[in-house]
Amino acid sequence: MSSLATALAGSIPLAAARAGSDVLKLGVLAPLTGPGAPWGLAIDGAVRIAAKEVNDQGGLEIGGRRYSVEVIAYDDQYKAANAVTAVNRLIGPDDVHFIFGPVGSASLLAIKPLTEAKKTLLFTSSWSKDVLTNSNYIFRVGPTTEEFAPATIAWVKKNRPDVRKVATISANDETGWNSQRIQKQYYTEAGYEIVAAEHFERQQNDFRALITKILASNPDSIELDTTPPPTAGLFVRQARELGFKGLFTKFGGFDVAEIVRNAGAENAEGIVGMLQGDPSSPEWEKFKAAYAEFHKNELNDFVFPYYDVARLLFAALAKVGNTTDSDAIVTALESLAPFPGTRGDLTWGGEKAYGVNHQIYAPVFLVEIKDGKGLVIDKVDIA
Amino acid sequence: MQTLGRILPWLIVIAAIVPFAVNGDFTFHVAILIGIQALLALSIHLTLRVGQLSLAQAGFMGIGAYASALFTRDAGIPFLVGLACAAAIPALLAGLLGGIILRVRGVQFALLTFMLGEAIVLLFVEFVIPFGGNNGVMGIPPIALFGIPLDSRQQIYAFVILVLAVVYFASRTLLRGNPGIALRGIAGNEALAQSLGTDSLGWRRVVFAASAGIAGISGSLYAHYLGYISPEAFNITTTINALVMNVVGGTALLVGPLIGAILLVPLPELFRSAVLYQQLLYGLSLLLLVLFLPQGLGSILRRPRT
Amino acid sequence: MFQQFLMVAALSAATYMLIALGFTLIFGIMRVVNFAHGEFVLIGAYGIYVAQSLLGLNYFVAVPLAALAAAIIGIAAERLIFRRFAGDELAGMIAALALAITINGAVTAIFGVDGQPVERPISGVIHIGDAILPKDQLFAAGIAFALVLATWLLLVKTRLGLAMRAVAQRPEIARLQGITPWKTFPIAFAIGCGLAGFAGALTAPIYAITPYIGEGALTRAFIVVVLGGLGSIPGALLAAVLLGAIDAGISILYSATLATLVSFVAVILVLIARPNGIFGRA
Repeated sequence: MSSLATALAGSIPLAAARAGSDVLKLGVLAPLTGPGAPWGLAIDGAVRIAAKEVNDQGGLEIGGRRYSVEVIAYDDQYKAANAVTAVNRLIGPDDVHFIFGPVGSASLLAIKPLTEAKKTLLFTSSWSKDVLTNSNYIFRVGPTTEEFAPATIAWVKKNRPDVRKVATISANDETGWNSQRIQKQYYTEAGYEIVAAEHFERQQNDFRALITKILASNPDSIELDTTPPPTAGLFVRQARELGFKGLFTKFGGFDVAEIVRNAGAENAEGIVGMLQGDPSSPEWEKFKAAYAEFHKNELNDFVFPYYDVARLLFAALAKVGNTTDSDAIVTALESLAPFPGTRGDLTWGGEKAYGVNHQIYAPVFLVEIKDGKGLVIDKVDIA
Repeated sequence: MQTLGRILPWLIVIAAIVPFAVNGDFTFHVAILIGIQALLALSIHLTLRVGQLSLAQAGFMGIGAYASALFTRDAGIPFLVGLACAAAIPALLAGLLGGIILRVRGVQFALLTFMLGEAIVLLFVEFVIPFGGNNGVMGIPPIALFGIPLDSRQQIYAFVILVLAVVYFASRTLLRGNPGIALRGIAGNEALAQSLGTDSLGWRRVVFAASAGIAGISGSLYAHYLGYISPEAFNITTTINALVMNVVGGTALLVGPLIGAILLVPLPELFRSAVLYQQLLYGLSLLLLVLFLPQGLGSILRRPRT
Repeated sequence: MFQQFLMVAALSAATYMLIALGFTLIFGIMRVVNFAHGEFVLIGAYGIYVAQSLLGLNYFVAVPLAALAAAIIGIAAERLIFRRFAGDELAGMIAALALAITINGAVTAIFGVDGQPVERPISGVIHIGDAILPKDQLFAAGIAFALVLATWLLLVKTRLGLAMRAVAQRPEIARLQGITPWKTFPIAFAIGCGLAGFAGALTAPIYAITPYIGEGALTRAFIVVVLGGLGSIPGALLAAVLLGAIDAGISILYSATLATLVSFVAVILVLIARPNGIFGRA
């Protein structure tokens, strides 16, 4: 039985107060426990890595004053109600103007009216199409299905020509409905037949009935979409045991370690997914070491985009010269593209789909699981 | 002891004024949540008074919340009418169902209402139109009195306290007046009461319906304050929290649920750094309370009426 | 597809039977609604994790150990907590609730909120006709059915079982016959919680080990027991089969959420006709 209200993680100020008497507070609002935790912890880790880097250099120079960076984190457990209470704390007594996260779309949509009203800048990776529409202060740090699906599906067409019939699953909520709708649209446009499109409840771990239903339609490949990686691993294992021998693709959040752990290395062999960082690159190793100072779990690719955007924010603040003029900071952010990031240049886009250019574009990596490890097989530029 | 007992309601009044002294948006946020949860705890209390524990109360709260939210947002009706619907619809439902399920007593009734509450939540999850499914309902209009929206936390809190006071005194009247005498007769010795002409089932239905209506009011306030609702806010965990407020505050006193709410709702805020142990401490405290103080904390100050 | 449906339904029914049987046994003999029953399933699952992954024991040794752990904790709970509430149903239920929160809190405090990895000792499938039967599910279902049969035999064929049934039906007369409830209560709890522990231990390798599995198990137990009749063992078994079939069928045809909803509605309808369940007594 879960306890009253939310599980709120305590705030842990970074030990760099000597740098300056001014403090720049960064908020983190993400699932730090439960489903989605690998992503939430990655966001938290990324922001802390960026903050520590800057603090170790004596702080951030903004408008002639030196700021030390402090991170205040809250756990929304992927639930909207918890996010609302947490954001009330962040923009209220904590007096935070910049929030990283959330991950869940329902969380974001619930807090959006509050942050927009208070002109709080939000840097999120939430998947819903309503994230950026009708907003001024929200930025999406990584590509979502709308941005990368044409490229990833084109890759499947070229490299896995045996696939004709596709089944897809995702969670039964805003994130899942949205991503599945777009996957279905682009798969169909590319000439594939969608033979099954199902949803599951986020806490579900018994997929036998669902798999029986899907396998009855004989798919060549199952698209795991935005299914959280631990759940995806469980699904893969149960599906393999019920006789599915086809391809699994995961063009949505990917986490090799989680999937292998839950599916078993043998069942996970050959799964193709998409990462926002290259596990074989020196940057990955560098992050691994830095991340281990804050969290014990394996490094997740979400660290890359969030770290880049934190640095982008620092640059914008330095350009504007203060930390409170939200409109000026937004303009500065928009003007800083292309911005050198850890995987390539970051550019802004999204006006056509969302009405505002606050969607970041950056290259992504296609990864195949081999012998329990992720192997990069391609790098794709998202136009 | 008696004087202490008479002080109790005044302590509640003082507690209600505290947020104005402390001030701050977040203080009022917690205070508003206390008020809303107190209403739900009160609704469980009423069912306990007729000797039956209803575990469906959060489900009724949800019905009130969704009804009020959807009617005001999509059909444009004013908030106060929405609030009235939020009370009426669950009350009607409870009154109708009560005729059948109130025939069952004890734990069987508790389990029945448990399932009813869960079924209600599943309806909200399964039917994306009109309930929005797991995503819930967004953009709910704020509390507005006669067309004027309440835009400050202080005003909203004042309104919540007003509603709570009205509900409290109405409940007290119900439990004290002629209906109350009938109810006490039923609680004391039902066969005897029935032989004297009291329609036991009828009265219990009234109380059950009233409790559902109060839960619905709680739901409406919740929906219009947060501006956003989702099905998981109305599941069995919410009901259990409200039940625990009764256990802690005292099941024999009408102020018991209020005491429970004041003590329990702000707790997670105090223990924020010990999150991992929070639940364990909560459970252990509850166990000790149930084992050694079964009448709840309110009983320390006041001897329960027999 | 039909054979596959049978497979899915069979494991579901077997699991429900195990959990509901323990729950209804405890209620029948002690009139306690064990709100903490789901958490004993949790103890079984985490017991497997501790025994297998931390202590390195063989799975087939770990399963009865995990169930034993659940049984022992059950006896402790009966001695320390439920004994006082033997007559008071409502108070017993609230005490059970407090226990549930405590157990869940303890597990979360010790092992954390995230899931634990499970080693899967049985793998591979058997083919029968068109159906693919995963061996681990067959094993779990088989052991579950065997345990149910063993419990039934215990209750019907042994003196101990006779004593327990006597206490359930007529506690005062049982006392006159020299059967002390204070001896049968802990045994009832041991068996009931042990069965729950087995359910958790057997299904852990098939699903996952997270702190949330207790709530789902409890809801399942409630719905089966309410349908079958509180305190009735044949009722619990019949209801488990019915609900397992409905669950599997509708999940395969539509969705899991709809399946649960339909189960609830079906039970509510049955209860309107027979408010005490299929085989229940008032």
